[in-house]
Amino acid sequence: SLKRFFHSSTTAFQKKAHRAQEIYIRPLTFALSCKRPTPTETKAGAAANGRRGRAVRARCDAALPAVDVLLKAVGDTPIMRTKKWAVERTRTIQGLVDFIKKFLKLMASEQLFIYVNQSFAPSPDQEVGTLYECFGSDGKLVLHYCKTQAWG
Amino acid sequence: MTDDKDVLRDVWFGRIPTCFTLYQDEITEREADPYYLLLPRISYLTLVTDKVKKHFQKVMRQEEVSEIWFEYEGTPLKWHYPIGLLFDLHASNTALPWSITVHFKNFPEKDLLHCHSKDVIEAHFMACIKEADALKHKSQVINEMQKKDHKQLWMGLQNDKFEQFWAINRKLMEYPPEDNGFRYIPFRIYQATTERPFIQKLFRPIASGGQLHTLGDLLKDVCPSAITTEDGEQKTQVMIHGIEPMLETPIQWLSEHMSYPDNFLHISIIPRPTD
Repeated sequence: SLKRFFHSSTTAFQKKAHRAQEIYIRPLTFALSCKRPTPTETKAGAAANGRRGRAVRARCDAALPAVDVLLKAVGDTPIMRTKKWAVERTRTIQGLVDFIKKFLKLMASEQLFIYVNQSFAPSPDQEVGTLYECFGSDGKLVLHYCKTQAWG
Repeated sequence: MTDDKDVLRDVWFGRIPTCFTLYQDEITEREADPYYLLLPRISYLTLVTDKVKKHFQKVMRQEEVSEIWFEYEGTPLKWHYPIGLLFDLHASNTALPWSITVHFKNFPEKDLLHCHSKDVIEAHFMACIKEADALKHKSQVINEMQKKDHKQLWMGLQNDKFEQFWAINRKLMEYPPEDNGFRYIPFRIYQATTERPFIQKLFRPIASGGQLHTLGDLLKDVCPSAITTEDGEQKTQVMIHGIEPMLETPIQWLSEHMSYPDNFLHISIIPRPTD
């Protein structure tokens, strides 16, 4: 069934992602739910339950140090079936490039460019969390990836 | 009153007297003399050190030479940070000339990006300008420019041509008069005392009440530890281009006049020296 397909493919992706690297990048489980645990569902949230606003959010950020990243292929670069990933805030662009290259089984020598806003390529040591804060919208950071230079 | 335009020139022509020395463990055929150079603050190490490279390669065997990199007191210097920022962050309040060690071996992959050609520097520089304009004007100004304008920004920096660069860059510094400033200020705050990379967030030049945000407002918001005081004394220095601007300075003015050519305000937070 469709449900089973989603489930198995999610697991396969998770395994693949796990194999690909030890770093913290995980697909958002799209078949089950796309939303984060609410504050009350996490330990930090439970402790902060009853208080609203900044304190709750801050504690959740500490408990869930990840941001949602939407990865879109450009041109003839292979697409990733799982597009939405939760990526650790301190992960660098280089870390993300390495992950995508392994995921797509590209050779280490092949180049992969990442673009923000379809306009600029952040430097490899820039952190995903910082880019999310400055260029994220609707709760996610959209990044385009490409095997050849796409913009500028 | 002096013209604010003079500030642009002062920033552009800032120089740091530097002494390059070859790392002691590099294998040479004869002893290498140190090499002295005035480094432009606004430029990049790998863009202005061709002569340094040639000087040291003369005394080395060809097979011993691989990618050049620079270090100051054990810290590998990131070529993709402007030179002035590297100096402010790592070497403020030390004696001049700035003493940089030159390496040709054991490239520190973890700390530095590779720089195999000037094209890499150009790509990095243009990406920074585009990122800055995304913050300032939603990329509208940079996107309306032609390819040759982009090239002129880069050539202006590469050849140290102030007029050539600013003929184009002034467009990136404009904003609609009704806005009183950019959308957001492109800034990065670096701290000497932490391994964490820079702080970069969204920050508007104008408060919701209409008053101008200052450098102090920015720091209070995104890096409060930088301006906390102990016994009435500020324990840190906030440096841009080797000076400590007053914390009351409007951030919009700083962005227009004290940004590096990449259009970012690179702000260093360093410990205040004790006498």
